[in-house]
Amino acid sequence: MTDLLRRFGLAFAASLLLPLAAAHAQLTVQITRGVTTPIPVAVVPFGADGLPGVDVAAVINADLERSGRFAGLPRAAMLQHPTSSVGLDLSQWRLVKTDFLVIGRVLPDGAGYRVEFELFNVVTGEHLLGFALPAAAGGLRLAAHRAADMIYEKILGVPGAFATRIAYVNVQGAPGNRRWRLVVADADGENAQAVLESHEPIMSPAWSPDGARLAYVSFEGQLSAVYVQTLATSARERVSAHAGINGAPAFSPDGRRLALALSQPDGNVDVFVLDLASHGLTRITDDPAIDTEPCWSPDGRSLYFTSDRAGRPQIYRIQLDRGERPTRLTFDGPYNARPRVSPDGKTLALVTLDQGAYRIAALDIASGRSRVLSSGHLDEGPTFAPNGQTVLFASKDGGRGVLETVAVDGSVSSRISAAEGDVREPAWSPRVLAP
Amino acid sequence: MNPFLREHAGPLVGSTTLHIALVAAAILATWWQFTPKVTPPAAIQAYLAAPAPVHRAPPAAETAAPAPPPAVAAIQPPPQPAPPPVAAPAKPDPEIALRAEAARLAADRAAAQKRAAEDAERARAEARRQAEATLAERRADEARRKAAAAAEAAKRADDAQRAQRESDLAKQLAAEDHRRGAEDSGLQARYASELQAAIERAWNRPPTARPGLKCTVLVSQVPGGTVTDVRLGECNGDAAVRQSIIIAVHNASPLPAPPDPSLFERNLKLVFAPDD
Repeated sequence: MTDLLRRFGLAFAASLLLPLAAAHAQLTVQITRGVTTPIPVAVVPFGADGLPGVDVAAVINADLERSGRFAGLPRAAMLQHPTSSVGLDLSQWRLVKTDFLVIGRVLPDGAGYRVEFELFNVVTGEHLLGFALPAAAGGLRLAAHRAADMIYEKILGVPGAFATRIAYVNVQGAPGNRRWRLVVADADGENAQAVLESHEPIMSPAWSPDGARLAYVSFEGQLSAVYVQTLATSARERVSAHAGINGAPAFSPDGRRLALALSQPDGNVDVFVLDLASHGLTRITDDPAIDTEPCWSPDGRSLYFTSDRAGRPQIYRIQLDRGERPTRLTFDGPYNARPRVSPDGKTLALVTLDQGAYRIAALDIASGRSRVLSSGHLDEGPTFAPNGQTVLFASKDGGRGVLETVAVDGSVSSRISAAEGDVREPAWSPRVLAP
Repeated sequence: MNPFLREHAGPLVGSTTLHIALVAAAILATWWQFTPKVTPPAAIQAYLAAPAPVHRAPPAAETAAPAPPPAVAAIQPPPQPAPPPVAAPAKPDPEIALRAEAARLAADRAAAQKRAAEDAERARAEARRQAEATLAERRADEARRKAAAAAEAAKRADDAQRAQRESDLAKQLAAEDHRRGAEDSGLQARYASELQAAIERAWNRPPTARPGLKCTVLVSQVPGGTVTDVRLGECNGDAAVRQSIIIAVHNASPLPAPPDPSLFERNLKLVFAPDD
């Protein structure tokens, strides 16, 4: 009996051992981190026979690179310049260590063009995209931005924000002879156009949700007033011109109301909501401290704002339909201001005092944890890209105001434009593009 | 008890009973022949009835012997009709009485013998049961013995093979030992972390690769670290994440060599699960 048991036991032990040995043959490795180094991509010059103007591939390449997530292959490193998938040899592109390949062509189409492009995964050989975009005569850049958006989304899983626009305030001239311009440009800084010029300060541009209008503060006549201007027609309306301060306009998500900071009627600055149709004014906060810089939550049911009611500027949230006291959201550091909420409503971009410098930080609203994103000394005016991936802000470069972008995870940043003069208070348009 | 007797007790008792019954009948018949013709009215009945026990006795005896318990019911009557013979010889009373007495004695004897037969039968059945039980036990013992013998034989037959197996196992264990030595010395952990670092360096995390993502990838490599196959297993990531993972593994090729050649793994399982 014992002998049997022993034999059985031995056999049992052996049977245990063998599968274990087999299991050993597969090592398990946990991957808990990644990098956000630029993804190598080759955007080959598009085929275009004697067509005017725009290097579509260069625009796409610049968009992808500016996002910080892509590194374009220099054209000098390209062994070939294919413009169609016929006879395309992807292994050639593997040799130059590119992960993705973009090829395409620009074809005349009526009065305008048709931009055809294709995207390949060089590593797996997969054909990821094939698309034809119509373009108006002057719309090749826009078509290129749209192509870049599609490529970005196919590779990164989130929509791009290249075919969008930015508004900012440009200040030129020496003190005493200053000129303020309200500028609207493509998201890459190109096609910059002044929509308003003034010898008095222009401040706080804000986009309507449909991208068709801008609200801003103008001091024309030495008094602050809030205007709403329709971009297509340049028609504008003065919507708030109370005595004292009229500042920091912000469109509600439905575009029908404007949140404002007003010192009316008692001289103390509080947050109000203005109904644009009825011009009815609703007081939202009522505190002896300064409450300003309101920002709507994406659902339109609460406002984030800056208040120094606790002594130093901090960020608070107030529910509009409840009549509760505002909730303080920031506790890190002595200064947190100018909140802007991400499109998904989960993150606030704000200005924080970090090691003696004003920098851009991202606050996770749910956890209360914040992360400093920028590294300048006087960074200000953060605004989210409509895809929520990038924060645009104003910084100082040798005393001159410039625009920079930073990924929301802080991983990559880039300079956007080198407009003449000072650049301040950028505002990134929503995804919907006005014609 | 003598085995022969035990074996044949039934027939013996039966035939003995039959003989006794026949003798009794013959005596009765002779007796009756010598009796003068006095025929009381009841005599006919008796007459008719009289031979019955005589004739019936033998069959009764015959059935008594082989028939087990059920026969008891059938046998019961004979002793009953036995009295008629008392009345049947309707000649001189004393003779009739004598004969009746004799018949009754014969019947009693038959009944006693039957009872003995029944007892014997019961004893025999009991003995049979015991014998059967003993036999079953013996057979079980036999079976056990045979099984043990077979096992023993099998064991002996197996010994060579087993020795071979154990030798193989020992070799394998030795290899494992070497490998485990390498593992224990932290070399395997180093290998894993080098693989991890190489792949993490190559993984361009798309924005949608957030904590909560879990993707399993089965990777085949050849010595030298060249990746030959990348298969995505379970993965809750979107298309961009899946694509980024596959590209990462290909771009990490050739994978780092293990610090000890014995640690090389042809098949790797990678679990992409970002923790921040």
